[in-house]
Amino acid sequence: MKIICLGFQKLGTVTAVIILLITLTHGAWAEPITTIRNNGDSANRVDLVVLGDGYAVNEIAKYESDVESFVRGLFAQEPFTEYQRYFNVHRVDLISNQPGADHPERNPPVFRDTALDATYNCAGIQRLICVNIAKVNDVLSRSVPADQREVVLVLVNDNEYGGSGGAIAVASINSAVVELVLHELGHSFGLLADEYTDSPPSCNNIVEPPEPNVTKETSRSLIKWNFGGGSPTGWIELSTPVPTNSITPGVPGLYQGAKYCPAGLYRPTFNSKMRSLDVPFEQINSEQLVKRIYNWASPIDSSEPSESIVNLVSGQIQIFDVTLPQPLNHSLDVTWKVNGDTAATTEQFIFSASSVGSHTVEVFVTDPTVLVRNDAGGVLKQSRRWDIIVESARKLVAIDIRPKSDANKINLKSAQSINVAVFSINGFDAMAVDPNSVRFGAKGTEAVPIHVGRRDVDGDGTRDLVVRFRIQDLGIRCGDTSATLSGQTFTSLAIIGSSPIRTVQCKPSAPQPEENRSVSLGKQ
Amino acid sequence: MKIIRFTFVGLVIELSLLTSVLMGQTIQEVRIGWDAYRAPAPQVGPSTARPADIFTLLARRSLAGLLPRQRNPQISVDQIVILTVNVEGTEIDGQLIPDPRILRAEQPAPNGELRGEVLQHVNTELLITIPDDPTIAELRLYKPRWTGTTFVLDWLGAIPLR
Repeated sequence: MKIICLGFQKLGTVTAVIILLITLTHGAWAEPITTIRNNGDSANRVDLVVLGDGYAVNEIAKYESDVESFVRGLFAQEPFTEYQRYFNVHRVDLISNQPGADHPERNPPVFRDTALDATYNCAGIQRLICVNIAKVNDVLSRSVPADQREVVLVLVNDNEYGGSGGAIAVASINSAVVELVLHELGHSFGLLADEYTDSPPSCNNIVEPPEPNVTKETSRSLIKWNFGGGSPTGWIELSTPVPTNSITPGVPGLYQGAKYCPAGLYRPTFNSKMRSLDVPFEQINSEQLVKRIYNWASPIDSSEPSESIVNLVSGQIQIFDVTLPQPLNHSLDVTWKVNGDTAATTEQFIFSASSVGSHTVEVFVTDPTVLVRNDAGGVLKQSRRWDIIVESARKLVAIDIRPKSDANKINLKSAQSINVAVFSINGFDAMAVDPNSVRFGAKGTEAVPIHVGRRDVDGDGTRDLVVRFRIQDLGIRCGDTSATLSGQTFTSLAIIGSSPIRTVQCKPSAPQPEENRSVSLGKQ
Repeated sequence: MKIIRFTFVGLVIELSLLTSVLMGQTIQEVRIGWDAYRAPAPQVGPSTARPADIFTLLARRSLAGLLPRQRNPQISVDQIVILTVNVEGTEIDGQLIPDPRILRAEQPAPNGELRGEVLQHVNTELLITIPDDPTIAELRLYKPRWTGTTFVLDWLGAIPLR
């Protein structure tokens, strides 16, 4: 593989693509992967992938059931319950030659031939299960897309309590292990500290810890989970003493003992899942977990229109739309603003182009959850802006290129000029057109008039406008099939008209006998 | 572009990759072996072993897909910082990933509180995705260290990719 990649740098794109295809055909078989919670595009979701170990070929149904039970257990705890729709869950069906896991601590020792080499008694700790990281990466690399591996869990087919935390969470199917995995996700996903006091690991209460749920600060207004000194941005009510000696669950305060230190460091609640199992994460840890979820998932899934600059004609409407992820029991706040003024609070907003000029449409989406009081990073918010350009509505007018000729031929090599008539017809008065505003050419923006006349071209008894332009100013290229005139009336009504053309003298060697006639000003 | 997934790597995946390559939606997956400590045991307490930090490029491939993006990355001592550097020495990508050495062994004590140890794998791997950019020259790895007021990045090593 390395040799092929080195070769890449010296090869052209096509060759490189061919090599890529050849490389892939040599790839190993990928394991079947089933998305068992599909809540949206992985680009805007937290993706949890579950790999089973110790499941024999006849245990796939059991594996599916075990994964389902485990996932239900994970999402039965807040804040994961409320934000479960921010997660996708993928199950990789991995087959082992033998069921179970290694138990080298047993007498006699038990060894199983499994896909990921799960073993209890890792590092001599009976309940610690380790897996073969290289084999896990083999599976991830060949079976799981790169944006679907934010959280990796190995589920081991063994009923004995056990597991481990780290970059890869490992859990046995003992139902109590769900709690341990939630605690480990508090570390690896939530970047939370342990709140228990037992040591090792060693206690360090000399410096302020970096984690959001442990502090050595004892001044109420400086405690990291009490931003602003209390409600509404902080968590410690004024009635709660600091330090806090209460044993009441779920009361934010400043409780002595945290991160392997019985004293000198403080935790935010009397108990939490970062201290014990079978208790909630509690407020401060939940706040951090919600913010971590929003590290991967924006409060806006998608928005329309996709272009950031929208051109409209006066009187036209434009539908703006946002698609949002859906928390379980509350909704995200949506505010649409037009030129800075609030215009709507729904997921869809209809902009009516009533005023010519430049406008802005912005949408602001915020998660108003009570689980987060201090969003310093602003991750619970997302906005998008569109620049709107509204032009006046254009009146379609009838024009005729070379009014006295049926053939609208244009010799692009000619240094001469060409007449274009704007007709007074169907109630439109061509005399109302401001000649200084008129442009003509490939797009209707190119040439300025060199002469303006007013006469009855079509013989209907009303005067028409006849405007003359230099052919070399028209911006028309060989093969163009139409030309456009634009402008506005003295009352600022925009006008536009188009007519077919045929370009001639595009091939220098080809004789064009009609050309001299067609450019003759004398016939106009 | 999402890859249509099948039980085995087949033609459809290749066509998807081809389409993605032509559309420029490809990434590189890099797999790196990391001999972290000079120790015989598979896991160690980090304070008891001498660091080795020998990195070996195990595999590198282009594949269809998008780079995972974090909206507000938070640095932590339990993570590794990886910078992707091009031939001109410019950092073209940076990412935070969980430190693959860390192995947490925690279990409930009789009093209901947890207790545990934080071990480290002596040998481990990094599986990362980086931009599919032909000018990439190397990956630089750092370990965040907290001073009490700020994080500093301690050098771990570099992996040449040319």
